[in-house]
Amino acid sequence: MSNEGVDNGKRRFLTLATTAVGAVGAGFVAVPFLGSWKPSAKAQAAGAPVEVDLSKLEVGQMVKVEYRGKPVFIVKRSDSIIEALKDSKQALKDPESANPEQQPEYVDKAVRSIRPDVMVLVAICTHLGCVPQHKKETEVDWGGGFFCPCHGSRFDLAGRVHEGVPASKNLEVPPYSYITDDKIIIGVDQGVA
Amino acid sequence: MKKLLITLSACLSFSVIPASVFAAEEGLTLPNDPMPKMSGDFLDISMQRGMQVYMNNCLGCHALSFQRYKRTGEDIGIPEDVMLENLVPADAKIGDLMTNNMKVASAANWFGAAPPDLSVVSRARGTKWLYNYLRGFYIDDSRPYGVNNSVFKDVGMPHALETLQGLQDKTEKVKGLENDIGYAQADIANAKKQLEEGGDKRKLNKIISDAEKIIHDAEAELTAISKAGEYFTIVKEGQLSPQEFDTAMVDLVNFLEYVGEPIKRERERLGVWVLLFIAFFGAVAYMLKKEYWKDIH
Amino acid sequence: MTKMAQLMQWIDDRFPATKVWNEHLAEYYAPKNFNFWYFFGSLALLVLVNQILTGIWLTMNYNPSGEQAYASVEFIMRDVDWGWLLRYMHSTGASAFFVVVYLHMFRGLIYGSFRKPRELVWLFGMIIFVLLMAEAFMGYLLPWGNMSYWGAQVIINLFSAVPYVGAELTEWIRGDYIISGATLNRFFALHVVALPMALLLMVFLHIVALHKVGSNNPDGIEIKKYKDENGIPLDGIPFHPYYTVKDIVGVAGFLFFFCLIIFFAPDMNGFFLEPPNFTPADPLKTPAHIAPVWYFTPFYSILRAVPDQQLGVVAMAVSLIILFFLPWLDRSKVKSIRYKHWSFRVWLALFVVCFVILGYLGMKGPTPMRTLAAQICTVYYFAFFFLMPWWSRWGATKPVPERVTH
Repeated sequence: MSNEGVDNGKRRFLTLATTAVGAVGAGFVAVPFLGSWKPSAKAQAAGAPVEVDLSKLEVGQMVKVEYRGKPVFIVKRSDSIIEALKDSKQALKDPESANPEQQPEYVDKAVRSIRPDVMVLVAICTHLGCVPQHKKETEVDWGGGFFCPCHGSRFDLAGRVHEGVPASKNLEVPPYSYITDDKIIIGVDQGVA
Repeated sequence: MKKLLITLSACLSFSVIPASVFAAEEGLTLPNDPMPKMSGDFLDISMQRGMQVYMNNCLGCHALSFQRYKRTGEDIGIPEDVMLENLVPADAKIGDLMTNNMKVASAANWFGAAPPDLSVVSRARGTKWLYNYLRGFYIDDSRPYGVNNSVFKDVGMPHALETLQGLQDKTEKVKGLENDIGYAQADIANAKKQLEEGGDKRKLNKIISDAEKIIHDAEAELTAISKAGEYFTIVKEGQLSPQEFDTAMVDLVNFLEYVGEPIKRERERLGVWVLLFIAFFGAVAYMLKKEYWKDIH
Repeated sequence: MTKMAQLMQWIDDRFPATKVWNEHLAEYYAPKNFNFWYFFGSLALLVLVNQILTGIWLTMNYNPSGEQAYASVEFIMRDVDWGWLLRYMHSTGASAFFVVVYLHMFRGLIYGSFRKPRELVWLFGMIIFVLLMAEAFMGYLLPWGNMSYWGAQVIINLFSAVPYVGAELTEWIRGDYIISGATLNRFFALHVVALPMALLLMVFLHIVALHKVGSNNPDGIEIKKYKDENGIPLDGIPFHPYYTVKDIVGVAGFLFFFCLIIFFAPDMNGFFLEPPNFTPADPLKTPAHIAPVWYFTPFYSILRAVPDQQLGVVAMAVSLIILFFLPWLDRSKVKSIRYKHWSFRVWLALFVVCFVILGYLGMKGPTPMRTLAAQICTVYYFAFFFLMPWWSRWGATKPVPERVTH
């Protein structure tokens, strides 16, 4: 072994430098491993936006489409329903859509849609994920909307959650926009080219 | 250090040995022209034209079922709306795989073998083979679809590119030379048989070596003829002249090469940075090693 | 005590952490004259880690059914973000593993690292080598390309050479009358779970056995013979920090060439990813030319060199098994090539040449000339080992130093 003095300062610096560069390298190596977990091109293709033709949708009718594996309800609301929604007699937990996560900012806060006559909702109960049933206002005594059979949560025809039910958030409104007056595309925000 | 360099260069010298090490010992096939090397924007444009050729002439039978339209457009520089308007079938979406509607069983019935998916044909056959195969169709009335292929003998594929190339036939000179080769090969086979039966060794061996020389000379002449572009002659004209058709085939093969490994360009780009980083890391690590090993030396 | 020291004390009271760190790193004394040939052990460990990590990640998207396997590999190459890189790291890693392991074994050959008291280190290593060959063979079936299929067909058919039970044995291995999804699925399970576990166990035992007796060195002398007043070998240096720091440089050097291949020539001109494997497995269509991957070709050559099918299988098996006996075949008085008679270098050089020629021949189709060459090299291969008890004693050895030189 050499008897000369050990330059500890240099050793510490070089060790630090090697460790630092090595750590950066390890970070680079992690990129493909972590990145490969992102949705694949196959998932992205399957998750592509869905166009819906509204020309045949009648007042009071509901159609169901699939977007990213989830059911989406599209309901045509009559003028009287829209009026009723605006001054709702039901007690609601979030009447002004205060929770920003449940709808895009470009939808009306009360009726929760771009145009008042067409309602687009992700049909997954915000309680524990069951698919609610569409109930017309003539079928029930609570104003109509969506009823979840799993634990009894109720939502009005703007997807707003009633007081006194297990769910605490309004039904989610997905990003969507109008391509033409008769066609919407679910998955593309309003205002995005 | 010297041993290190010797061992490393020994290992790397393997990369110089071409894949022909694996090739079966095949005879000469013509044409045998090299593909021109292209890069940058020229290559992009070539691939775009190649995609058009493919979609118009090939996709009907040959799917590219591992490749998606969207990333193809992004990689070779075709905007999505142009793709959708010109290159994507009406019922397909931009994110879809490039499949077709050919049923395997029916196709096998019609052609003798189902037209294979061509997603990785460039990696299986190589670009040079593909380029020459595509230009090797010629008239042959003995075949079910009226054509044969000078690179892939008795192929089941019809001449899908006939509208572009027209029809070609081997020139009389070529036919004559190939005839000579045929006779010479028959002579050799005959002589070998007689040798086994105990014929005159000297006479028969001379027949064999004479015939082999004929074959060798004929093949050399055929190769020269092919290099000069005079192997085939156009019998029925197509939309493109022979040179235009060759260019279209370069484009098509460039496109297939891209589809074979879409990530290739990106991979090589990243590789430069990776190697630079490793070299830098190695330098720092080496300094660290040298410092500590002062203790030992 | 500092917080760190308190934590370590808590752990050490319950787990031999510091003890293991000292015994195997900070106070494991290795000879100070390790050279270039001594990098390959740590590199083998690095490649093993690479294969396991990339392998696990590939398993996340690979589908081991006959119908989907080939497509799932192309899915990984195109649709999975960075999937192409994981695939190339794994395929290049497989070949890199054999490059590193062959060089690692060669080091053992030249310096007598297999000699007493390290016979068990060598035996465990040989078991690792055989397991590695099995692991690589099974892994190669998984892409379900046409070469995968037919390569497996040829090798599995070798088992039909076993007397009496050959045909049944072969069918049992396949799980079907021909190689099919049944074979693929079980090879997948073995390749991903069983063999990696066996490999890890054997690598652990290999290192434990090594650390018990201590490493050999290029001079082939035992450093434990001369110790200082503290019991530390005079020619020994603690593995950490000296060899940890040196091995990191080795890793950087290796990674440079590893990445050079991954990013610029992952096919390696057809040696690492063969062209016929870019067509799906077809039971009705044999490739023009079946050859195993390059790292098997020397042994494949030996198999083909023997004209009789059963004897060929026996010859190939013996060519591997004889390696297990190496510790008892070398009867030279000295361990290292440095002090053996110069004839050892001749025997060894010819062995290397024959091994490489056999490897080359294994890639090509057989012709009478090539078969003759393979037979000559096979004879030499066996002579090298079977005659070693005699030729290793021939000629005067040079005087072995008491302390390491360089």
